Amino acid sequence: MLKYIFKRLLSAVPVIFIVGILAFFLSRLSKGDPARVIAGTDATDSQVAAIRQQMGLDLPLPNQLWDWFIALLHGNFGYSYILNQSVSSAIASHIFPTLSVAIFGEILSLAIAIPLGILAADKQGTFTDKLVQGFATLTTSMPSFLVGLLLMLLFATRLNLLPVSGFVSPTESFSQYILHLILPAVSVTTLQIAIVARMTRSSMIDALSSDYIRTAVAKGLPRSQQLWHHGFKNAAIPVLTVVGQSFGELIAGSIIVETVFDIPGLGQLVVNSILRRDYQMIQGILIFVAIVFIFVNLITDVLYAVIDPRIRQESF
Amino acid sequence: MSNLLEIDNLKVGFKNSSSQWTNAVDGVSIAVRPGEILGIVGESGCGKSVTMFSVLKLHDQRNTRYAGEIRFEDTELLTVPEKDMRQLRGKDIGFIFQNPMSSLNPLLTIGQQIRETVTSHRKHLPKKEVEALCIKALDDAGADDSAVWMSKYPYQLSGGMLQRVVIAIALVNEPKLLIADEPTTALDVTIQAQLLKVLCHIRDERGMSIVLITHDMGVVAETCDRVAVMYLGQIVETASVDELFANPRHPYTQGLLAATPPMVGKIPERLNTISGSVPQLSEVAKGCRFASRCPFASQECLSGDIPMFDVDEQHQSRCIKFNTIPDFRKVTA
Repeated sequence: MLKYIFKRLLSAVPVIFIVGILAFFLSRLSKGDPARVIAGTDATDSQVAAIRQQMGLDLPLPNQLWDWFIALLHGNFGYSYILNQSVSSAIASHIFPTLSVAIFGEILSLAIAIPLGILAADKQGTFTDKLVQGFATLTTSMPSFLVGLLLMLLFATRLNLLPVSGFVSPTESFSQYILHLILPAVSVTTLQIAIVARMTRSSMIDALSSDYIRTAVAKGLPRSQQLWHHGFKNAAIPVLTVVGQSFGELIAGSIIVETVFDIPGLGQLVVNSILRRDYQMIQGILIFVAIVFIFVNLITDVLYAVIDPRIRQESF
Repeated sequence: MSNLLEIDNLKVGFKNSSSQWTNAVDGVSIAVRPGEILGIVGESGCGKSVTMFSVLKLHDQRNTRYAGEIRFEDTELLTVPEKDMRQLRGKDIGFIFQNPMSSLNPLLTIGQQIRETVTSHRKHLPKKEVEALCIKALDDAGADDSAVWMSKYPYQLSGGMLQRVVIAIALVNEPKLLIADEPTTALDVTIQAQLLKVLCHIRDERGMSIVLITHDMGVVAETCDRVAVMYLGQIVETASVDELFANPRHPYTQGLLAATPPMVGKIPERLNTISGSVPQLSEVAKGCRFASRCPFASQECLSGDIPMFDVDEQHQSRCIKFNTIPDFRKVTA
């Protein structure tokens, strides 16, 4: 098991390397000069040149890339001269709100989508099934910013039940923390529910037509046990794939929802850094997101093995 | 002694994609006596499995309709509520399926799959007793190391071993009736013989009834007490095994027997075949369903539905010429 995880982490090194190169050049493709941004509009050329030198931007590109990689190897993600803060501390202070919305949203969507998908598969072809599918189609076609705005209008402005926007740290007030999370989490959830419910349904329909379900029926097991213990366990792997994928995306930051609800998360940090031409920050965040994806994929793969003894046998 | 299971004029219809109903089983009546092994034979698609699946209502409820009666002891199974049906499944009636590789859940251990069969019917049984029942069922099914098997996953066992597990699952609650749907078809011949021996042994020990669905006349001869021969959704002949093999009174049975290599004597160079092919269910004509392939068919065979005739008290045939037809095997031999 440990050996497998180690092997997987090792194979991630080239991935991070390639992402690094892409991140480096992508951030430099955009027009604009970070040194000038820092220096301000009425700085002289020599002042700008001094700042550029201080930031290492006067070196040839390969040298800059090399220096950055060496720093990365030492665990140093870089330093933002614009925020006057190290990239890692900036990420650390922005990741918590994003993570909160992502986890809250993911739990909410799984709690709704999986039972819905199983229900639809069990009642395949009936009115209930069509209702679930219709609901899924509806939520897929609604962009999350629209859902966010509608929710905000209804629950915050009209009914005054929930705060309109913002983020409160749980150390400040835990109940306010949860209350502020509800609307953003629900808005990122809607699309998730549709994707997960559809995948659960189709994967369950396959599982339910198998011989071992017939055996489970012939044993006299209660329907719930047939569905969850025998059906869903076998249907879970494709669902897990989808969930892993979408969770990675949620952690990378749902920029739109964070903007709508004014949440100081990673998504906002990315957008602002791009606007400020904060090269080091953009590169650092891209690498961080790549690492997050690698970890989420690794966890997904380990969970496959937890579910399926045959995969366990093969990989470990 | 009264019958354990009585199927009376059972009709099972399936709805196809264009919402038309076809009767895959059309008027089957059959009884299973306590302690007997009843064989149901017939070629693929004749409705033998459909008939027995109906006993536990294993067909997809949404596109299946039943008519007739199925009585198990004092219960009318076609009208019993689903909740009571569930109590019968796996407890009073055990089921063995054809393909052991796919009949078991690949993600659960053998132990989990046997245990849940016990615990879903007897919720408050102490863990130790459940374990003992499972081990005993595996032993009875011929497992060589039951305790080890319990912790294995299906992919770690061979086909023959898995079928023993399936048998153990069917037996663990000591059912009164065991339905085995081609239990040995997917397995090789030596394993087949061992498993049939296991079934016979269990019947002798517990006095349960077994319905053995097969298309293998050799299996019938070796294991069954009585046989029902099915053709195109109908039973065409029932008799004791000895009687059926010695004196088949339906041309289809004769054809089947002629197509089986003899157990004794010289094996002919060419085995007999029944000419023609099975008609589609949707194009079944009036009269005898076997008429289009029957060497003895005449105009009167097509005149109307053919009932079952008594050859004697224990032997019935759905052929109007049952007492005049020569033995097909001897005619063609």
